[in-house]
Amino acid sequence: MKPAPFTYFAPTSIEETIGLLQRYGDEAKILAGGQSLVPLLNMRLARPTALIDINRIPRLDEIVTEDDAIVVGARVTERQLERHPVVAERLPLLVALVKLIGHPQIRNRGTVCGSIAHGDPSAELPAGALALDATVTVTGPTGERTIAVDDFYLGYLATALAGDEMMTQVRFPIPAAGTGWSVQEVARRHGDFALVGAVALVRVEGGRIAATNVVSFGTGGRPLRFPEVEAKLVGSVPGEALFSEAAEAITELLDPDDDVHASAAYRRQVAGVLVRRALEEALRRCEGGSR
Amino acid sequence: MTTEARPQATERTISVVVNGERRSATVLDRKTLADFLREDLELTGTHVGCEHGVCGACTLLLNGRAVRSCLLLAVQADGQEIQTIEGLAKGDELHSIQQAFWEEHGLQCGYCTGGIIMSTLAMLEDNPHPSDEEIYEVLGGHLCRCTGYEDIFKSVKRAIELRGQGR
Amino acid sequence: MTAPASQIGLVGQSVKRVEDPILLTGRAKHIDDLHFPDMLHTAILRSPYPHATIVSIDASAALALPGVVAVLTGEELVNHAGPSRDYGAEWYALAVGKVRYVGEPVVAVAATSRYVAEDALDLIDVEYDPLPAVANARQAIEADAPRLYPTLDTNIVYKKTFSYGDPGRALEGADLVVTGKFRIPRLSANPMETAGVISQFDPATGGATSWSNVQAPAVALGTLVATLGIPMDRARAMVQPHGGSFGSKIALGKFIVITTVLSKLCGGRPVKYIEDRIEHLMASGSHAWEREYDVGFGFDRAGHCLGWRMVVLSDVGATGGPTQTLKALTCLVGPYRVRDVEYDITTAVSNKGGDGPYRGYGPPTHFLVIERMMDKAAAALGLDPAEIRRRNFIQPEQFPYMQPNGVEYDSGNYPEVLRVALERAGYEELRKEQERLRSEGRLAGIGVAFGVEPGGFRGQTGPYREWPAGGSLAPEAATIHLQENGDLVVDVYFAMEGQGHFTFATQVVAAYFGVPMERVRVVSAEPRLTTPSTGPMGSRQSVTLTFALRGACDLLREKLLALGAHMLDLPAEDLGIRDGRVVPASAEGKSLSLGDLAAVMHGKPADMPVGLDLDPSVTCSWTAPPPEDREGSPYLTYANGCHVVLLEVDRETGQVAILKYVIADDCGTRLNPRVVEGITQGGLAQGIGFALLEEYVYSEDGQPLSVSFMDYLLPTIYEVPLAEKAAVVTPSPATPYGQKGAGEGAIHVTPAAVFCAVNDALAPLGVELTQAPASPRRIWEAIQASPSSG
Repeated sequence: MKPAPFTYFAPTSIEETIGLLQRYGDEAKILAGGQSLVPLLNMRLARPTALIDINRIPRLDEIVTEDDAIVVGARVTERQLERHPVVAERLPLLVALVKLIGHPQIRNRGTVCGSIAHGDPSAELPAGALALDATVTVTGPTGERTIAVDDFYLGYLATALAGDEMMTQVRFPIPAAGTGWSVQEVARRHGDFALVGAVALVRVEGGRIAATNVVSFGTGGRPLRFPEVEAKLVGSVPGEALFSEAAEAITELLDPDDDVHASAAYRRQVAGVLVRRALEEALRRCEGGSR
Repeated sequence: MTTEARPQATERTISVVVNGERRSATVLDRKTLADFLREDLELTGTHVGCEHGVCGACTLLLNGRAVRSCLLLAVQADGQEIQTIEGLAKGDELHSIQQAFWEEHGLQCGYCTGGIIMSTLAMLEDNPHPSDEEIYEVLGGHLCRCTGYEDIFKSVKRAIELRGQGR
Repeated sequence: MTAPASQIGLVGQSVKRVEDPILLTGRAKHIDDLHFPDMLHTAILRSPYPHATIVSIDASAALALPGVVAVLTGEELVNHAGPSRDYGAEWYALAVGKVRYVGEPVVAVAATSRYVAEDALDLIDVEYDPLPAVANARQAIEADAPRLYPTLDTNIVYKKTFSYGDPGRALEGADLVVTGKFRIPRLSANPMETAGVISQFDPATGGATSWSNVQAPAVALGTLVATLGIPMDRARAMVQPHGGSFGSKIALGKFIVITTVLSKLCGGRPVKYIEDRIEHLMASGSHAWEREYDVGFGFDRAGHCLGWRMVVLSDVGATGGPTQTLKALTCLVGPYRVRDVEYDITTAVSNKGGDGPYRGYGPPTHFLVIERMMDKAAAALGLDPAEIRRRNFIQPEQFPYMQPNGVEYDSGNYPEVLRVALERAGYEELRKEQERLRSEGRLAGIGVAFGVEPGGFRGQTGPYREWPAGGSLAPEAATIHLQENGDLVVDVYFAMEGQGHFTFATQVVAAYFGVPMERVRVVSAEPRLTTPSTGPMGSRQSVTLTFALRGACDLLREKLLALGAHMLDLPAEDLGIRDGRVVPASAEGKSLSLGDLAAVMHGKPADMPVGLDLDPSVTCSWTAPPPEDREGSPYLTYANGCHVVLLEVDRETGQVAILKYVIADDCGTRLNPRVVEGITQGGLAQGIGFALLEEYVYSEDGQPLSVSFMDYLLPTIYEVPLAEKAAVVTPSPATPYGQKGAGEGAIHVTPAAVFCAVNDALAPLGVELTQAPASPRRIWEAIQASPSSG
C-alpha cells in the first residue's frame, strides 16, 4: 500500500497552481487535506503524475464572516470551521455537519472545500452546502467563476470543476433569522460516512412554513434537493402528517444503490424517515428559540 | 493495472524539526510521513496499522495538531514541527500521560497506544479539562483491538488528574 | 497441585504491568521496526480471481526495474519448499498451476524498498483462465459443484455426526420442540498490527533465520525445518513483540517460506515482508466461523432441556479445516445439564480465503445458537429467560462434570454467576424499564446469556484427535537463570502480545521466592527445538505457563536448598525459602540470601558440595498429563460468565443502542485482576464487533468486498459499552492458584447476549433476526417482515 511515483509541487499562488493544472491536465491532482486522496494514492487507485499541494498558497486558510454569509477558503480545515465561534453562533448547522465527519484527527487535516470538491454522495458537507444554497468559487485560466452547489454536482463524483480549475472558496449563506435546522444520518459507526442522511431547514411565519430546504444524501450519485416537495411544504401548517407526506413523496423520487452496508430498499425507506425526522427537529429548533 | 510510462521517482531534500531536533533528509516525493519517520529517521514508535487513515495508530502531532501520518507525505512536512511518541519521556521518566496509561492499564499489546497518547497530548495541550464527550470524540479516532477502550478512557481521565497536579 | 500460601504473595494483585514502559515510550521493536543492512522488501502479487488456471506469468519487465532483485513464482518456489497438506489436498505458499481465492499469493518480488516492490507488481503480466467458482458452502456441497482440489472428488473435507445419548428420543418425547436456523458470516481478529516476517538464508551453511511476529514460535521453526528443509540445528525463529494476534498470527508459514526462498535467491540478503491491511482483510488466512446452523431443541413443560440436534455447515475457504467447528465438542452442552445431544458437522472448502484461528476458536457461534434457543423455549413456555437457564444449569455439586461425550468440566458455580449478574444488572428494574420503553412504543430488549470457556489448552487431545493434524500435546517451557547478584531472569519462549503474560510470570516467580518484582525480569527468549514450547493459544498461558514457571522454580529451589544445606550445615529438609532467603524452618539462626547462594553457584566451586548439579539455570518444559482416555478434554479449566444487556432498536432505521451492559464471570483465582478485567472488556469489544458490525461480504462470484477498514468495521469507543463487571471466584482444582484460562471468555458470550437482546426487542413485532451481524439493514429487513409493520 504505497503510492505509485508522482512529482510533488507546492505552488505558492493560485496562478502557479492553474499553470500546473494546465500543464498536467488529467494527470494532475490537487492535494489539500488529503484525507480522501491519500488513501486512494496509497491503494494506487489514484495515480496522478503531478500532485499539486495547495497548502503553501497564502490566505486560503481564512474564514470570513460576512453579514449574510460565511466564506470559507480552500485550505480551511473542517476542524477550523467547527471551532470558529462566529460560525457556531450564526450557522450551527455547519458545526453539526462537520462534527459528523470522521474524527478530530481527520478534521485537523480534512478541508471544507476538499470535501465539497470531492463530492462524495454520502458526505455531510456537500449535502449541507446544497441545503444552504451555498456557492463555490473556482478559478481557472480565464479567471474566476461562481457556481451554485446545485449546479456544481453533475453525478457520481462528477462536478462542474474543469481540469484546469481549482476551487478557491465556498460561500455558505446564513439562513434568515429564526430558521430551524437539522441533520440526521444513519452511519454504521460514529464518524463513518452516512448510509443515508437528510438535512432540513425550516422557517415558520404566522404558523405556516415560510421557507424550507430539504436534502437527502447517500441516496444517489450526489446529494439531492426536492424543489417540488419544498414548494408544497411552503404555505402549509407544519405538523406530523405534513412531514410524513413530504417524506413519502421524497421516498418515491429516490433510486439509491446497494452496497455492502445497506440495500437500495433500506436507503430508500430510511431516507424518508430521516427527512421526516429532520423536518421535525428543524421545526422544533425554529419554534424553540431564536434560531 | 496500468503499465504506461510512469513518472520518474522524484525526490527532494526536506528539513523538519522532530521532537525538538532539526533533521534534514532527501526523500522521495511519494514517501509517506509515517514511512519517512520510521525508515529514514529510525523513529519506529509511530506505528502503521492500516495506511488508509482509519485506525489512528500512526497519529502524531504536526505543528501541535494530532494528524494521521499515513495520510501525509514527508515532503508536506518540510519546514514543520513534528512530535512523536519518542519525544515524550525524559530518559526513564515517563510523561504524565504515559504514567497514567501505565497506572490504569490503558494498553495491552501497545501497538495503537503511541497514537492514542499523541492524540491525548494534543487534546490536553489545547484543553486541560476536556469533558467526557470531548474525550470520546478524540478516542473515537483510534481503533484498539485489545482493550475495549474502557481502560484507555480511564487512563485519559487519570492523565487529566496528573496534569492537574502539575506533572 | 495447590501452591503453598507462602508462595502466593503478589499473585492475585493488580500490579502494574511490566510490559508497559517499553510499549508506552515507543521503544518496543515490532517486526516492522527492524532494519537490517542490505535488507530487501517484498511485495506480493495476488490473484484477482476466485478460481482460475494460471496460463502464464511474464515477470521480465518487473525484474528489469531498477531496485528489483528477485522475482519468485510458484513454479520456482516448489524447487525450494514443500507444500502444506491437509485432507488429501496440498498447496504452496505461492499458487502453482491455479489460484483458489482472490488474494492468493501468485508472485513475490524482492526489491530495495516496498515502494519499488509494489511498482514491480504493476509490471508483472499474469494470464489467467478463469474457472467457475464455489462462492460458499451451500454451492460447494452440490453434486456438480466445481472442485477445488483435483486430488479430492468432493469439496466436503470433513463430515461426521457426533451423537450422545438418544437425541432422537429426547426430541420425540419433548413437550416442546423449538427449531432455528442461523447464519454467521466470516469475521476475523484484525489485530492492529498485521503479519510480518524477515528471513535470512545463509548460503554458507544452508541455515536460515526468521524474525517474525508469529504467535506460536514452534510453528515458525516447524516451517523452516519441515517445509523449507533447513537442517534442524541451523533453523532459527526469533519472535518480536507483536501488536495483537488473537489467533491470526499462529500460521505465518507461507510468509516465512516466501521470504526465505527470496533470501536464498538474493544470495542471503535479509528479506522483509509486511502484510498490509488490505492484504490482511482480503486473505489473511484467519477468517473464521462462517457457518449455517439448523437446530432443534426439545424441552419439557417445566423448561428442562431434554436434548438437541445441531446441524452445522461450515465454509472454511480454500485452505481451512474443521477444527474450529470441532471445538464446540469441548463445551458441547454449554452450562446445561443436557445428556442427549447431536452435533452434525459438514465442512466444505470454497473459493475464498482460508479459515483460520480467531479468539475463541469457534464456540462463540455455538453459544449464540444455544442461548437463542433457550430464549425461544422460554418465550414459548412463558418463562423468564433467566429462569429457564437456572433450571437447566449444571449444579455446583456436580463438578467435576462429565459431559455426555466424555469431556470434563473442572469446576464452576453457574447459578451463583447468574445471580450476581442479575443482581448487578438490577434485573427486575431492567425488566420494568423495558416495559416502560415498550409502553412508549419503543423496541427495548434484554439479553441474558451464559457461556463456558475452555481454557488452559493442553494440546490436540480429545475431540481434536478426530482430525488427522491433531494428536499432539502442547508443552510450555520456562527457564530461570539465577544471576550472580541473586536476581532472577526468566526466559519464556514466545513474544509479548498483550495479555500481560510477562507480568503474571513476574508475579509468580517473585512470589515463589519472596523477592520484590524488581528482582525478576521476564524476557522473550529464542525458541529452540530442544526446549519444546508452544506459546499462547486457547486461553492457556495463565495455566500452562504457570505450571512451567513453577516447575522451573521447584528445580531452582531444590538446588538452592541443597546448596544452603551444605553451607549452613543443616539438613535440606529443615530449610525453606522465605523473603528471598534460604532460612531454617525454625526461622532462627543463620540464613542465606539468593545472592549469597548465587555467588557460589556462579564462581566458587570450592564452596560447592560434591556431586550436586548447581548450574544456576533451570528449565522446565511442562506438558499436561494426557487425558486418561481418548475423549478427555484438551482444556484443563472451564471459566464461565453471564452477560446481561439492555438495548434499544430503532424501529425505523434498525440501529441498535446499547443502554446497559453487565458481566459477571468466574475464571477462578485471578492472577492479576486488573489484567483480567481489561481482557474481559477487550473480548466484549470483539464480541460487539461480531454482534453488530463485522462481516466479510463477498459478491455472488466470490469477490471479497470488505477489503478496507471503511468496509470491515471494527468497533470504536462509541460502539463498545463500558461494562460493569463482577467477579465470582470458584477456584479450579486443576491449577496451582485455582486460576482458569480467561482470554476468550467475553467473546464467547457477548454475541449471544446481544443477539438475544435484539431478538427480545423485536419480539413484540413477531419477527426474528437469524443472521449476524445485527446491522441496521438486517434488523430493518426483519422488521419489514412483521405482520404489524407498514
